[in-house]
Amino acid sequence: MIRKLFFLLAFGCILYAGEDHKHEHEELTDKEIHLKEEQVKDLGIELQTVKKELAGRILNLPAEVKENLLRSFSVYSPVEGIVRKLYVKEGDYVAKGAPVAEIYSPEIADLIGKIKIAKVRMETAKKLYERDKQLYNQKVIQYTRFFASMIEYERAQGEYKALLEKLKSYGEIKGYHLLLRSPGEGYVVEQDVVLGESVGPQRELFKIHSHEFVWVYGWADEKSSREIKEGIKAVVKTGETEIPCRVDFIGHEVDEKTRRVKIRCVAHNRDHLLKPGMFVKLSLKTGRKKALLVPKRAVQDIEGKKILFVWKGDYFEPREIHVYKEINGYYVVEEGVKEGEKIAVSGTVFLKTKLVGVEEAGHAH
Amino acid sequence: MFRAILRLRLLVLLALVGIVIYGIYSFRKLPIDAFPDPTPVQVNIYTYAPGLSAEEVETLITIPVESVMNGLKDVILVRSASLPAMSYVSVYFKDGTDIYFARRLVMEKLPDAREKVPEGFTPVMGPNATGLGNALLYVLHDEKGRYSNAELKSIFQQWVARPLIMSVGGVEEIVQFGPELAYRIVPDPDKFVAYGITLEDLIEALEKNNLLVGGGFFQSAEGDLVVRGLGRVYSPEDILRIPVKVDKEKGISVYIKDIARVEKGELPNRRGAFTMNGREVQGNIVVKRIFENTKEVVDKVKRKLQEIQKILPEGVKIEHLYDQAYLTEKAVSTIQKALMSGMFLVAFITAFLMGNFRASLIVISSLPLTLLIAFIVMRESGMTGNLMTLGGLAIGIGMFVDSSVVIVENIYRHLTEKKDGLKFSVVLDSVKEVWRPVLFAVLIIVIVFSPIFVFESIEGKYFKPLALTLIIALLASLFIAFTFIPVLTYYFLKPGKQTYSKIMAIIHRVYDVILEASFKARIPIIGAVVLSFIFSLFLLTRIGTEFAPELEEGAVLVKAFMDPNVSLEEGKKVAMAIEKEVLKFPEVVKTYSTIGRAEKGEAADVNYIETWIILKPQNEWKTFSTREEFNQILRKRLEWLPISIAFTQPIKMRIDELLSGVRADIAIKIFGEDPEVLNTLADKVREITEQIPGAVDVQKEIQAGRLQLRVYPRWEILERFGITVEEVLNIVKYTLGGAEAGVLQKGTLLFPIVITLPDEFRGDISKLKEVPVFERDGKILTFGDIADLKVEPGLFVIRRENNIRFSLVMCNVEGRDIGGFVEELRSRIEKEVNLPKGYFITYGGQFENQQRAMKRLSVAVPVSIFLIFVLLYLNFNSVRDALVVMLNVPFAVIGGIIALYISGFNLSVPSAIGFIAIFGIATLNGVVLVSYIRQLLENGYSIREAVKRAAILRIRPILITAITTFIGLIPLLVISDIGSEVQKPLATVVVGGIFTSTLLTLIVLPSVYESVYRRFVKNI
Repeated sequence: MIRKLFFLLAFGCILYAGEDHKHEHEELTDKEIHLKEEQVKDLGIELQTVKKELAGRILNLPAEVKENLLRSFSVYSPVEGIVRKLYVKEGDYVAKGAPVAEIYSPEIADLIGKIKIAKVRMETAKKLYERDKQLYNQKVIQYTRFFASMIEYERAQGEYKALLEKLKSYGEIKGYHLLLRSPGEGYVVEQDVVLGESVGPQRELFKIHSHEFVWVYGWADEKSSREIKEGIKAVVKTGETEIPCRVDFIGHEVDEKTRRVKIRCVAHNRDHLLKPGMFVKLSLKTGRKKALLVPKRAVQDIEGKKILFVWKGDYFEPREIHVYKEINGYYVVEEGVKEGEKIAVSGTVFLKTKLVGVEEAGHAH
Repeated sequence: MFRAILRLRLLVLLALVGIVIYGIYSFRKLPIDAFPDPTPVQVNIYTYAPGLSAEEVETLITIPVESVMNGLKDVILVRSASLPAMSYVSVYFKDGTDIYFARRLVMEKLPDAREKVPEGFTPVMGPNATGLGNALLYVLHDEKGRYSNAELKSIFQQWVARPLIMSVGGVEEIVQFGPELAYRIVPDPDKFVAYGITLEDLIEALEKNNLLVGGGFFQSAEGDLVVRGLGRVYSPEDILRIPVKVDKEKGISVYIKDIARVEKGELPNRRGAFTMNGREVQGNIVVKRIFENTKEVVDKVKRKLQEIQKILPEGVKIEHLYDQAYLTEKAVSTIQKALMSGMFLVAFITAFLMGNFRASLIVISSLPLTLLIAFIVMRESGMTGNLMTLGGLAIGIGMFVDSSVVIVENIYRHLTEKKDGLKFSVVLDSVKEVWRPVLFAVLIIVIVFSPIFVFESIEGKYFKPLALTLIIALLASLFIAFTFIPVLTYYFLKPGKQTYSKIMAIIHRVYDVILEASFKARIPIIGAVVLSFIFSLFLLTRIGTEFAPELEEGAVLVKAFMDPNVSLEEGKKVAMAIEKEVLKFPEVVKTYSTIGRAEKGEAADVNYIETWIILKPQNEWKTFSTREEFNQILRKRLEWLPISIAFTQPIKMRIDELLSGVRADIAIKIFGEDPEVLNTLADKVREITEQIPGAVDVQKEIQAGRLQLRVYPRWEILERFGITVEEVLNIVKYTLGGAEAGVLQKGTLLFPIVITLPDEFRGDISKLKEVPVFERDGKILTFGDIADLKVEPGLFVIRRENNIRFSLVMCNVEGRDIGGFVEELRSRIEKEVNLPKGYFITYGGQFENQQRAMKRLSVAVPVSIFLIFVLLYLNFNSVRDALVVMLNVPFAVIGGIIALYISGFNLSVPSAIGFIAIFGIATLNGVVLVSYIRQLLENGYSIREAVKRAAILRIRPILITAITTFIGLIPLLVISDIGSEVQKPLATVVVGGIFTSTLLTLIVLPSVYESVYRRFVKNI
């Protein structure tokens, strides 16, 4: 009898222990965490609806606005000379071909003198040639003599033409002055000349720049630069305003000092908000596919599983999620949560505690 | 001697008046405390180590400090806790070591310790206070919302309230919660890249551009001028103007305003907060110095708070929240109530039994006199009036009249019998007749209480004062009985009409009949007594054990643990949620919580909340009737919160902590080396503990699982660019550690300037990696370049005791005695937990004291019984008589145990003291009876006659002494106010014991004496 009883008892124990065992291995995700809405609020748990978003990284690059070199112009005096007249000043808008300055150059004056002499010489030679032609036709003189005066004339004529050509090459001449015109439209961004100053081809008088399109150079770290593709859209941020732009060049080398890669964007400079030299932010998003993104802080690591808490109206349902990759503070979720579901994005450490208890929190399995 | 007293009677009377006046004065001036402070002699050393993890704190700081302190003289225990950023070492000295001597020893060794810990960390001694030093709590809050908590703390608390309160005598320290005001420089790391600036540049610029130097004096035409170099920063704008770097290429300076913004905020890395009624406030705890009187300090601080309120700006309120004096007042007034009502009851009974108004008046007058003399002695010897000392007086109230009763009774009897005698000689003779037995009786009581003086540590600190005041008062009562009482009777007592009142006559008649019956039924009666003794011993095994009943503090404290990785902000949310639930009870006066630790002090982190709940007086409770019930309801209501909670009371928690280093009833410590193994063992122990009936609030201390951001320097990069690790860690210190990078002066106040990364950086480690840190060889290096940043789990707290690590399981016990609980727990753990070699388990907490006290008692009680026997033997010069009188011991035990069993109290130290007391009192009854029998035998009476006559004649003093003692304790049993809990078991035992011992002395002892005497005579 006693033996039977003992046996029964032992059997019961085993059963009990078995049950206990089973209990221990209950799936984490089977539990529901019941909380009232007020309690959710008290714990500071914020809810967010899961949406499909561009699964790219948002890069915020430090950047500087630079002039668009294709739309920059300089005004040089092609000759040494003295500035006699200035048509524009710094900040003025100039149209293409508009006069900007007049330069007096002794070189040109000298040339003009030479032209005049050459003209006289040519005219004299012409007269000689014409008389000798008549004389030859009348067979008064020999061909040799006629031929010599003809050559003389042609030489004088050539000399004169050459001098004229030379003068023309300096540009537009107004009297003894050289008239300088703007090579393109834009603003006079730099003026390095005053009236009466001596200038020459080594000296830039004006810098003219069209600000309609500017370049924005961003510096991306090596890893990010690999993700940026030519042609993608970006945004230039300066203070509150944002200006759209397009990446048109990715640097081929790494900067010595900052060890970052140049990213160039062309931006349409509306309202002239961007000024070369400005420090701005270049914000761009890599990757173009849409995917489900959840903030990293919404996910708790429990026993090696990534757990998300889905709000079901009056309770949280723990869900295991499979993460495709991690991009700046977000997980790209492969499976585990659907679009439109509400999840807890803050205070999730509390939900973890509700799930596994305070003491168990310490276990790093 | 008595002749001299009676001769100088007028002088004695004058002395009496003097003593009354001095006694009243002493009583009013007697310092009042809640109860004796049980803090062991203990010196705490803490080291603030910002930025270090628990592991590093242990290796770098705790172990060196421990090793230095271990070797000190009289050190019995070194405990430590290593937390992230904090090392806490407690050095316990042998009981009785002078605290100032102990502190001196530690002070001498501190430089050694400082040398052993890494530079920059300074171990300092904790405040010279006891575990019960948290005398008062107050908060600052702004009703108008103009000031932030940081401003309240850094301006009004730090510079207004603190200095004033610190000036109050007896205040050792003020522990302050809440944020501290700081000017935060928030750099924009993107701008850093653009301008080519690094964190190193920023830190250097701050260090070099914020100085103040003295320039001595300069003689000029205007006179002798003091030269001041004012390079200090006085406003946030000044900070923004500081140049960081000159860009030589571009020829421009970069200023802080180009790369950062400055904001007024709080000092980062705060590890504590104080919330009240659901919002955060600036909270402070006033810590009183050791040996200072709580009530005095609290009263002074309270007055100071009112003064401070006057000078604070409008809207800013300084609010007193809680103080220990509140409990003191409650407890002392409870005891006073018991004392007063005890006095009245005793007076009434004496008057009733004496049957003579004047005689009883004289007897009663001895009572206040005794107390007054006791107060004088207490004050002169530096004792305080507290739960234990006043309790001692309350317990003994009935005993203090005994000496006077015997003397007055004898004088009265003689006066009545010898009406024609000379009053002087009658009084003198009557006193002379009884002074020996009276002295002997008091001596016996003093002797029985002597074992209590072998108590050590907490039980000694609690119960020695009780025994001591009782003895002082007894001696005082003896003194009064011998001096004032004869004089008073001489003046005021007149002979009565008859010796015995009518009531006494009836009692005599009834007793006569009973006595006759007892002689006839001797054998059955003795058998019954023996049986009931055995039965009571059986009952004893059914009575639970505990150290002492819990004192009702009128406040509940909820301890809540959260996941170790919660932030302070999250912790605040939970604390406020708890407060919200608590405030739903109409019985709650107020509630407030501390989260984590204040700037100085305790070994707690932000995942730990203590919520204080101040309850209305017990008679206003409606939703619950006991504190336990309240705890149960609240525990249910807090179930939804993500916390593990335990309930206690503010002072009780501190005492528990002092005993075991843990704030719970029972602490199970698993010692060993490997934290992982310890953790697994602790899990197992927790599981077992939870299964044991009576266990509540079972918690395993979280010691692991704290996530850390580890900065591993990348050596190859550092070597390549010649960067030292120090430089790297310096950056970590400033940018993440929140180290002070300078001060901003506003008027006379200095505020720290710190560098904090923008919020979005704190949330994302990948961003942190991109922050430029150094510029070397024309290259800018980011955080990610110079170090690997990894998030890994680490340890949360490492506890050590005597150099061995341990993990901890705590629990409270409800609805069950602690002694039995621990027994069951211990045997189950022994059976079920397999300890690896080198690992062991100890059990600590309240029950430890109970066991130690019981162990002492198990030696001391037999010794005291033996001493009683020796005294009796000396008195009677007869082993036989001494043994017969000793019969009273088992007689008293019967009643004591039965009373204890019925009342439901556990066998605790107070109840054990009750047993000691009744041994003394009960033997006294026997002594009175037996000495008279012997006297009559000598006078030639036959044994039967002698026994009967002695019994009849002595019934009055026996009854009066017994009943007065009995009645004097009734108030303690009846009232249920704060403070009565501790004395109740004692009173219960004494009441029960006196009842049976008196009854049996009167009924059984005469017949036993007779039969023993007969046998003895026959044998000869």
